[in-house]
Amino acid sequence: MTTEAPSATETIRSARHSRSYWALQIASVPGFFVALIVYFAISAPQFGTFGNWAALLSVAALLGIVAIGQTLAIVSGGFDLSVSGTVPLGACVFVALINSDVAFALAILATLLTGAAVGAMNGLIISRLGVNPLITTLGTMSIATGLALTIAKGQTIALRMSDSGELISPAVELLSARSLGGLSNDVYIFVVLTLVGFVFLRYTTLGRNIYALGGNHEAARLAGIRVNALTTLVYVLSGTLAAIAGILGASQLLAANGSLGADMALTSVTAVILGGGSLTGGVGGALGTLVGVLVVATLGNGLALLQVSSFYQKIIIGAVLLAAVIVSQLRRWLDSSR
Amino acid sequence: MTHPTAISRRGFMGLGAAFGTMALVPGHVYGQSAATGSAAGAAKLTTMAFANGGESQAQWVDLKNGFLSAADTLGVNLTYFNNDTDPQKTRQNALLAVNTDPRPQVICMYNQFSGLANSLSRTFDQAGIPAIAVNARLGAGSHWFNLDEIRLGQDSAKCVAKVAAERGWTGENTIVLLVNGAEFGKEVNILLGEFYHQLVQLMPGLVPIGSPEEVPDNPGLSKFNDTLLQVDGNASLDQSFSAVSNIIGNIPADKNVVLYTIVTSSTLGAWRALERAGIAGRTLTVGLVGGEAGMEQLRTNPNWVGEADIFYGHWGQYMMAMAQAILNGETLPDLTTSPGVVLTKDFSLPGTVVAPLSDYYGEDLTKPLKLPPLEAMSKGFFGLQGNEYLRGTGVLQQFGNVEGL
Repeated sequence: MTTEAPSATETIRSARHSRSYWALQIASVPGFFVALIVYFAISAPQFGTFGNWAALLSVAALLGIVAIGQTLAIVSGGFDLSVSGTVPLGACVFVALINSDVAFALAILATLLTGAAVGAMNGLIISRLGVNPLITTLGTMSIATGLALTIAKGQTIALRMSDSGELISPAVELLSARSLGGLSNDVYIFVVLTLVGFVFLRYTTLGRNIYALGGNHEAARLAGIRVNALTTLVYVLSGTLAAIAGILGASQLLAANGSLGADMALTSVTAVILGGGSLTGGVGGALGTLVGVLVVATLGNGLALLQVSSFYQKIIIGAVLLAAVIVSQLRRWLDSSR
Repeated sequence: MTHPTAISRRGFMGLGAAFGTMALVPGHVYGQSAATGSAAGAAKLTTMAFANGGESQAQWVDLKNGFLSAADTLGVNLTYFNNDTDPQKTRQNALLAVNTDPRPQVICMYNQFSGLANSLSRTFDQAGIPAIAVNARLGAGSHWFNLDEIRLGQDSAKCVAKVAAERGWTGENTIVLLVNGAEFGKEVNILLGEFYHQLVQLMPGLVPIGSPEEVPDNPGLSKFNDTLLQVDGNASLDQSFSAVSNIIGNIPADKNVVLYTIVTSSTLGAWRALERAGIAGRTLTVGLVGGEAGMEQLRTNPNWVGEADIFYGHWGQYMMAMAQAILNGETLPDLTTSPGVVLTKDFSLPGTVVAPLSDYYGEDLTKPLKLPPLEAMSKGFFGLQGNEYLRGTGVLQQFGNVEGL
């Protein structure tokens, strides 16, 4: 066996590739996240305070939980726009049940089942009828939003108080109350669900099958994976997680309405893509999404503290998303050419 | 732009024309012709069409229910449309409304898109059907029904200032946090400017702004001066919560906070963010058009000192009275004002529309005991405004709920 010595040109190209590769690694989303933190910490004195981080993480928790489900959908080769309807539906169902004196645990269970039902509808339509996920989840988003508005009768429904001025179900507020170390419980719930999502995707057969499904649907089917059932499971999980976000949103706000979390679909897709996910499927993960969620939340928080115009905030966040996707594409290109 | 909260839009462009109209009809006595009902020979209102702004907000649901109920009371054949906060649907509904069978004598159009005014008014003009614009007007000279946003903003400020003074708050130890809807435009956010501009005059130490319009002219600006912060809550419960949560660090620990937003769902979200940050105890606020949730806050929250109520559920009867006035051939003012009061826990303020909650509501916070007296005609920002002339149509008397009728 003989090996050919690389030519001088190839050596130089390789070195350049290597430098570009590491430059892009540093410019990648985790690197950007660190740079953001440093920049905001220097520019806005309040940014580094514990109180600010507690608020930032609490705001990020809802998006993060939805984004875990979105990660599953995107890794499987689809995506789930219906979360923008399932979050308010979950919140409205939960508040309506609590206000109707349904037991706390039962209200949570019923809300989770509501989210799962929306997800099951998505999964069955996509897998059994072969309808595009965009169209399917757009339709179910509209249905879920309409149901949420119907339950709330178009109103903002506040959690009912007793005559003594206490919530009729104090456990609701506990879900997002300050807890260990001064962080709120919704943050801990988000962290736990992220870890569960990470282990599920990375270390379980089902999780690996989701990657296979997103990587090549036909190959996954030929490999014996029950693609229809798996697709349905993915959307059921996504719907359930969106319902959890709805419950936590209601807990944070002590109220719900039909427009709560209406921007969740696009923001959660943004977070997943920032975290390394690909709309072509088969790529992404819970920890990457966590970073994506933190980037989105940190940008929003830091720019607000710096008193940047809300219009410019939109421009900056959009530009960051585009930059992250371009860097991600360049890294893949360099990976494949090394 | 859409405005999901159903707060009034103003046609600033039509201001000059509005005053022009006023100049053409000096001294006109509105409603003079029909002190005992319809003018002699005038048609009685029997058919009408109403296109609502949407059905996704509490106010619109109340508006729809009120219209249907008023139509029942008066025996009016009402055709209902839902514009669904969509300009295409708004235009489509205008076309459908003029072709409705039976043909409506008057069309009420809740329009959120000032850019559609020409298209809509042309449709109604070509069909020869008079129209009443709700929210955004349909051009100068059109019949227009809306809330008196300037008055509500100013009187809300007076309400807060009274309670703040009782607690020893001044501009020296207070900052004002406004939560706007940056994309909703000047017509909506002017309310915030009026509120702050009025508050500056009542709380010495607050840093003045040039004019009320400075606030809506800078919807993206986060800090106007040392006593005025602004965030964009998009008129939404959860987005207001997030926006305020993000700037908690910019609220000085030694300052009290006066919170004011463009709609109570936004106030509720912002309030919750302040509450979670431990700031609600040193915050005062007044809600706007909050429905039951806002009323409940007013009743139970010691720092929720007022709630502006414009009685959305009863707008239908006022617009039907307006329609009858049109059929009677009367000349309407530039702006027919909706009923509006700023409700408080227990006080009223002379010369304002500030009144105690108990004056208007009993236990049931969804059904007012009465509606405020009709307002005499006066010169306002858009020309002549008021609703006293509706007395002459005899329509409102059939509901028996307007004070003084």
